[in-house]
Amino acid sequence: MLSCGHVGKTYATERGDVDAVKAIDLDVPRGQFAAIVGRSGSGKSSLMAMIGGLSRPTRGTVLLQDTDIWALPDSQLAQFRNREIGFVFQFASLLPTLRIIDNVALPALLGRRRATKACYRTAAELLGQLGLAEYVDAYPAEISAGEQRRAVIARALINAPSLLLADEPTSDLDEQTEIEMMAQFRELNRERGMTLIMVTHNLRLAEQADRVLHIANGALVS
Amino acid sequence: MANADVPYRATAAGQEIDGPRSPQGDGVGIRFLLGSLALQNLGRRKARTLLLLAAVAICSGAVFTGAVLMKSIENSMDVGFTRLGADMLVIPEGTLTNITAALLTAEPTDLTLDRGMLDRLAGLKGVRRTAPQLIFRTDLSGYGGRDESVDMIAFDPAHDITVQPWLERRLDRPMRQGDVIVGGRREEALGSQLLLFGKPLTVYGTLGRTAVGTHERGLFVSFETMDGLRETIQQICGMKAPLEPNKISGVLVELAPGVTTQQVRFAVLANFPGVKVVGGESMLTSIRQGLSALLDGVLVLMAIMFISTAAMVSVLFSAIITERRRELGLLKAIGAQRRQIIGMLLTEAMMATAAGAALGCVLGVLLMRFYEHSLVYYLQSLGIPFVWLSAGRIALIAIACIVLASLIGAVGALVPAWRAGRREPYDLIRSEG
Repeated sequence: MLSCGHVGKTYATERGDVDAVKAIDLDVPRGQFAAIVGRSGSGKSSLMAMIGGLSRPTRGTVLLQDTDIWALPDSQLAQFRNREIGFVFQFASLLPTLRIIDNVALPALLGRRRATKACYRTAAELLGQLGLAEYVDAYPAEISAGEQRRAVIARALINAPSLLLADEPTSDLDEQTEIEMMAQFRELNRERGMTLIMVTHNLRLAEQADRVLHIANGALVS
Repeated sequence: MANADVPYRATAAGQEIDGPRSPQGDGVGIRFLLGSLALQNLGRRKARTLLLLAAVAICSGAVFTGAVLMKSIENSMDVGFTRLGADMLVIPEGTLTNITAALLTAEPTDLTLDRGMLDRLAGLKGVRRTAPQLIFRTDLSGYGGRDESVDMIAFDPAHDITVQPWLERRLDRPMRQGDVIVGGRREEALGSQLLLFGKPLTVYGTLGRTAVGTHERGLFVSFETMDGLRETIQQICGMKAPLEPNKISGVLVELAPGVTTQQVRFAVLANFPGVKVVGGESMLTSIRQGLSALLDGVLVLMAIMFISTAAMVSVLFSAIITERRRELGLLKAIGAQRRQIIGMLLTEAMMATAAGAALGCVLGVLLMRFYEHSLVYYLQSLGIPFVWLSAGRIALIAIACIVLASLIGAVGALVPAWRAGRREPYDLIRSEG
């Protein structure tokens, strides 16, 4: 499913080059729920960005579904991200000027594989399944943080990706919402067999995953 | 690989939701959504958007007003300055000339020039327009009181520079064969019939007072009308020379901008033996040419204003994009192509600048109304004509301004949009502006 070979990232700073991620080898089989745990600045988000096709590695390869994603041209990489990867970011990532239904339908519309009406039908179904049916016409500012995060999950799922990447998905949520969110992830993983990689600094959350990877100073330590 | 059409537990929510109000079809929905996103982004920062609209409105309004006034002034100059007379008059050597400030017509004479010289004269460097005239004085036309002296003047309406600009009243149709225009001292009703040499001619128009005797007393007909009267006039008057075919009494000349009377005078004398050159009022020539240069300057000023607008839009959109990096990064992360990001930002810039330009045109129209009720009214009360462009041409200039402003908006936003489109999603997401 996912195979990283000696993948690394070096940032050029005023104080010289900084190795955010050193040569990491990582394999995640299909259907696994993996958590990457580390302190702030350990390189976990940079690793996730390289896996998700958001940030080009300085070295190494990322194979997803047997595709070397960083060998793809920019337009094809955008298409690949759109179809194969769902993202749940640590910030409230809904576009504030679009309705919830528009936000959820957006990746499907960008993909242009389905008619507009079909995209919206699917978005409505997903929102219904995640308990947000009554908010389809609402704007992000009109719903709670937890509801916003569920809408983000709906958006991540609309193109039925093979990999879901979650970067600190519960960072600014209350405990109850955090529990509900993790339940949602487990359900996605178990019932649909979706491959899930979650980045977090919270060991308690990470323990709910099938596999926990510790990262420190840009390298996997366990 | 998962089934794309059944993303998650394929249980229908049983709810029909409207997408954006657009027709169904691939690509339509996202174009509409990105377009409305651009529009909503403008609405999100109202103060900044209003500032941008105001700046573009001022610039576009100035350009629109300037363009309409410039074209109107050009039209007015065509009328007004030709009223000041030609720059030069080329006549046969030996012809007596009446020195007046305005060269509006040759003086009556039996001496003639060959009409064949016109093409060569028009081809001389520095000559912009040539207007031939044939003129003779007779008291046998049968017009007016007994033995009244009349100056008959034939001119070419297509190349005329000193007769038609003085028309105060005219029939609502083009001048044609069999028509006559009467000088400012003649009182004839429009459309009435005049008997000249026993032939009926229709009064097509009447001229204003010019203080040039020949011009004020003259009866003006086209060369074609004069050709039709030739045999009758020759029988009645017995005169030959001015009425021979292909003869003219003189040529009124308008010079090109930047050319002096002296330069062309020498060229004419060198090329056409047996002619005399009478120069017009050099100050009037200078004013005419100076105003032409001023209008060119206004044109350059307009270009500078548009360039500065493009620069302003560019700076503003750099700031807007910096502020929205996370949003752009997010769009890229979920699959937006570079061209879609650039297209959305350019659409936003084009909508803002087009709206600003439309506002500017409205302000320009209001400004011109004020101008019309003040300065133009004053000029016209002094007898100085101001010829506005037609409503259709003003609308065309407004449309051109709006299109140009939106293109300039796109050009201004292109560089920051291109840069944003090239950046990696993660780079954009983690650097919130």
